[in-house]
Amino acid sequence: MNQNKGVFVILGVTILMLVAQVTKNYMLFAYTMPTLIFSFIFLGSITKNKIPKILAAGWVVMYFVVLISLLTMINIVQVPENITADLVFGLPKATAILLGVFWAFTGLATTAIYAFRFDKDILSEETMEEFKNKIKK
Amino acid sequence: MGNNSMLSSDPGILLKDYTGMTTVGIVVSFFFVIVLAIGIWATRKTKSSSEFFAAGKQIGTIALALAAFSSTLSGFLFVGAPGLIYSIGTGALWLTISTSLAFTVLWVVVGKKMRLLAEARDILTVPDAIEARFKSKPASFIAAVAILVGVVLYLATQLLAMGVVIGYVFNFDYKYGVIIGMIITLVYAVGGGMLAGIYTDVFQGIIMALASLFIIGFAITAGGGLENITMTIASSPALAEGSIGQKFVGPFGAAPYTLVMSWFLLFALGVIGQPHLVHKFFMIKDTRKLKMGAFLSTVPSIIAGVLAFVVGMSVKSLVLSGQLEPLVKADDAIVVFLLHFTTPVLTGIAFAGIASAIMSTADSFINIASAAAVRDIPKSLNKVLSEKQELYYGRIVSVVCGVISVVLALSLSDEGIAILGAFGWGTFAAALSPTIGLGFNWKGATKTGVIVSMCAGLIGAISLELGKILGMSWYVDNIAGLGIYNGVFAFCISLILLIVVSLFTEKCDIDSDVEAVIDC
Repeated sequence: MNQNKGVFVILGVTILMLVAQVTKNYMLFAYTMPTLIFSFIFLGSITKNKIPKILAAGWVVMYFVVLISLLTMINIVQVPENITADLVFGLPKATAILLGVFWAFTGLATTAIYAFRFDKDILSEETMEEFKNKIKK
Repeated sequence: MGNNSMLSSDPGILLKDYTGMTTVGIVVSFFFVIVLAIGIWATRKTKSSSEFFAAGKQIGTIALALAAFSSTLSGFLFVGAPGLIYSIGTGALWLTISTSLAFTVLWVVVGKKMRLLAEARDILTVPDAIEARFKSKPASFIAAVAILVGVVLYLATQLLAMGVVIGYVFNFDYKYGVIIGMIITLVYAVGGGMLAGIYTDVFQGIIMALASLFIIGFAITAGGGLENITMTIASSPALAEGSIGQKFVGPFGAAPYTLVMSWFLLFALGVIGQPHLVHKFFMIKDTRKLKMGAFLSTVPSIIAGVLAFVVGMSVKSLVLSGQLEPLVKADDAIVVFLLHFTTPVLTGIAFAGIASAIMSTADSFINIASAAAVRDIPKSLNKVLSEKQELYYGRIVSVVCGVISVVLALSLSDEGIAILGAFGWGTFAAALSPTIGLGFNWKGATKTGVIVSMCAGLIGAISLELGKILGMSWYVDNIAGLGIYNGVFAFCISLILLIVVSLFTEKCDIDSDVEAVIDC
């Protein structure tokens, strides 16, 4: 993916998000919300016009973790009586997914991916050297 | 009057009868002394405008991470969030859980680019960066004006919250709390500038994260365990109609799904348009310090977020089970909880933490407002001040910003205060996020595109919020029924306009060093 393609994806998703708001379509909003956020993350990860493969794979996995956990939560709460049918650590299952998966796991995993891939994919020594040479010119 | 067997929920009565107030006062005073000591230390080290506005570009990983955590969540996390959770349930947590992606977004989308830009150019502020990217003084001017106006007005709402906390602790009217809080903030902000702000953030961030761990334990115990809290709320007869009790403990609470997802989106993506956060990346000592920052910001934000969740839910279950009187105001949740269920030392630490959280945000705001006034706006009008002049006038403008904010905070009616609240996170998200987020990651963004986007975002976000708060007919008749969340709607419009206008307008000539930043 290059920068132009990334920006077109952002444009398309943003238009869909606008439609979701105006038509009060919460399912469409649920699909576009994580897609827009991860589109920005993909765009920001482009180095020398491409996204390093391992980093991209990490973001794709996290995108699906966020999207699937969000859809699962929406599915559970459709019938309010189901909310407290199963408790996990004293919390309703859907709330436990929110706190444990959607929040804590996602937060720690995405920032850990950034830290683990920093030296190779985010800002390698080689990229930094190239950058320093370019700004000297 | 509540039932005699119930614990009181009126902070006024509680504070009057609270036997540990002397201890609380001592702890809070001790914290303020440390904050002032940091200010004095920073003042001695601050000799140039670079040191005043960007901490001499010498901050490390932990300072960056804790400063980002403190500045992002501010006093809202400890006062507003438990109150909102008490009112609408778990759904309010979505404002806080955005930290699951917000710090990744901040570091990936703008962190590296801003730090590299500061490597290539003498960049100290966001408008500096916008001018370097687009070579457009109007674009830089609009960004500076948006920051200056937005920050001074938003600061007034922060000051009010600080005044209430200080007023509680020292038992006087909140107005004196606003003035005393501003004086303490100005003492270290005017002298030590951003260096003082960063290290106050670090101190306050560590204390709040540690205090949160203890308070979480007290909150779960007071509610009789998580399961008891959950089932008390879910099965409460008071919330039986429409299964509100069940929804309340569910992941979306009693709020509409789109609304809570909008909060998440606005905080997760809006983070790249917050000038006080983006600004921090110009100050990092070297690029390697970026590596662990996002992770280290996320950990304390999760701990503090859990605090907001368990306090809000625990207080709700205590009220529903008849052990506590219903709160007078939802925002009293944390104060009532601390006074009833924790120790005076922990209450003192929490009060000091809340006040210093607001102070550190206030300091960051004052600093970037003064940078906008003495550096960015004059530069965009072709008037460049010397380093010494920038430092001198920067300090004077800091005092002026503080005084204006105090006057606004103390002179406006409730409606006026609500209007000030419109100049918050959403305004910056709509006005600046597209420009900063796309501007440094897409060579196709043009100066016309960003000017149109910033104007539309700024005007759109403020108009929609004012229309809603004041109940204006154009908003009530045409917009209110759409079910949109104003900040996200304005953000989407601003983002679409930037891309579409850029596609149809003349491409910018990008300097090679800035192009190298975009390519990295």
